[in-house]
Amino acid sequence: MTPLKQLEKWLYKKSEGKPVLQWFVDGEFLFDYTSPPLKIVELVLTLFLGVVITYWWRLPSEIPISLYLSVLVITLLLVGGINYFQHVIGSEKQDTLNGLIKSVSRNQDDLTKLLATMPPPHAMETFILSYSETLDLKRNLGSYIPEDAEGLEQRLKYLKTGVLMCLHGLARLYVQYEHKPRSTTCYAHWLEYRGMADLDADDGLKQAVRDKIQFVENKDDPLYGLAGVLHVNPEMTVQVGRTQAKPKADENVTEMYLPFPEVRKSDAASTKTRFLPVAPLAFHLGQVDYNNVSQQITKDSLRNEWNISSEVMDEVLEFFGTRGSVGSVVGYKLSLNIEGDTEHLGVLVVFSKSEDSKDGKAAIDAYLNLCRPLIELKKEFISDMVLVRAALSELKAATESEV
Amino acid sequence: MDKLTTAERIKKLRMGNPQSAAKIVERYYEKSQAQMNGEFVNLRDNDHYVARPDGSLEKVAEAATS
Repeated sequence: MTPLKQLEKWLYKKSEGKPVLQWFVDGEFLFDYTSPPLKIVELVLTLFLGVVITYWWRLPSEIPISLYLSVLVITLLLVGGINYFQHVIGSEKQDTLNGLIKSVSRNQDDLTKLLATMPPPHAMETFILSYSETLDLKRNLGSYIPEDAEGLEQRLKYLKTGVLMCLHGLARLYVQYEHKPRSTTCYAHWLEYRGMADLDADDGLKQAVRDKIQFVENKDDPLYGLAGVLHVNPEMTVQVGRTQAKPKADENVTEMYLPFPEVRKSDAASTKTRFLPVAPLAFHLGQVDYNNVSQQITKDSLRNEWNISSEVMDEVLEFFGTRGSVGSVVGYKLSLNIEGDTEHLGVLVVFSKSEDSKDGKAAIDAYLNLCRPLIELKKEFISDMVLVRAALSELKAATESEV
Repeated sequence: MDKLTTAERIKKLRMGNPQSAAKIVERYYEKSQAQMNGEFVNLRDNDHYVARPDGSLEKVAEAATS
């Protein structure tokens, strides 16, 4: 067998039955050109090339110039080819390495997100206890609405308790999700929205709102330009701390109403908002998180971000400043959504005195995801409460008219 | 302007109808299928804004449309 045939057979064997040079077309390699033996071959060939070039002028006349040129070209091709393949293999290896680095980085991000958003120790137990016991209360009350005043009042009391139980669970979970010490006291408030139709239908309520509304520009006509108000009701607040066996109301809260202005077309275009921090703004936007209130609600930020009078600005600053009790806060609008129809019930406000949350947005997202069933249950209690309260006032009005 | 009180609107909302119930069931299975196929299903009921260090707000997520 001639050496050429042998080479052809060897190449056929190396290319695994494919036609000769198919490996080159497929972008495969016969050898690992970056391996030490091939590096030695490259070195020897380079040296040979140097020798050939050096001895160009000293060639014996017996050697034909064509032979010399052939040797030179073949050596150049071999050295160039080895270098080329080394470069291609190196690039491929680098690409693989870059892909691996990206994959590791992605996995690391996923793991970090998982750690930041996974329920903290005991959070699931807290949730199960809060949800199942509150649901038990809801089942126990049933859907039947009593017809007598005493029954309605009793029902109203238990429905309020249901809302407070939800708030209690939400406050406990906030401490756990923010990875704050278990001794941290956390507060949860429900601010009920009362629209102008509610106020117009109840003169007593309207007067109470006039007497207790705060943060309004027009003191003579405080309801001017308002779509409604948010009721800060001490009875609808809880503070949860390690030392308290039973929840108690937030003692820093005094009853008041917060103005919620009518939404204007110009609001969307304006860079400044007319809705006060935090509850009215959350009622307007949906959900707002402040992780460091003392730095984020300041004279400068109010001047830059809000379109409110300087008197109201001072009141807001005084409210957050004198209370000094809000570190991080989440405001979340509660809406009853049934097949495209929505009724806005108010705002859930959860906060603690300490600033900053360890895991920021991801932790709050995870917290609200876990709490969603509890929030939905709370909406049911609130809706029942509104209906029972309306039935009670109808009954009282009927009794008064009879008298 | 809607002159109904909150109680009246809630009563109206809660009256319900069988067609809505059927739609809810259908929607649930559609969303479940999407989740099982690895698709992201937005379940938010509120737009989400986060305060920056200077107090300005940044919208970080949108509420689900349906």
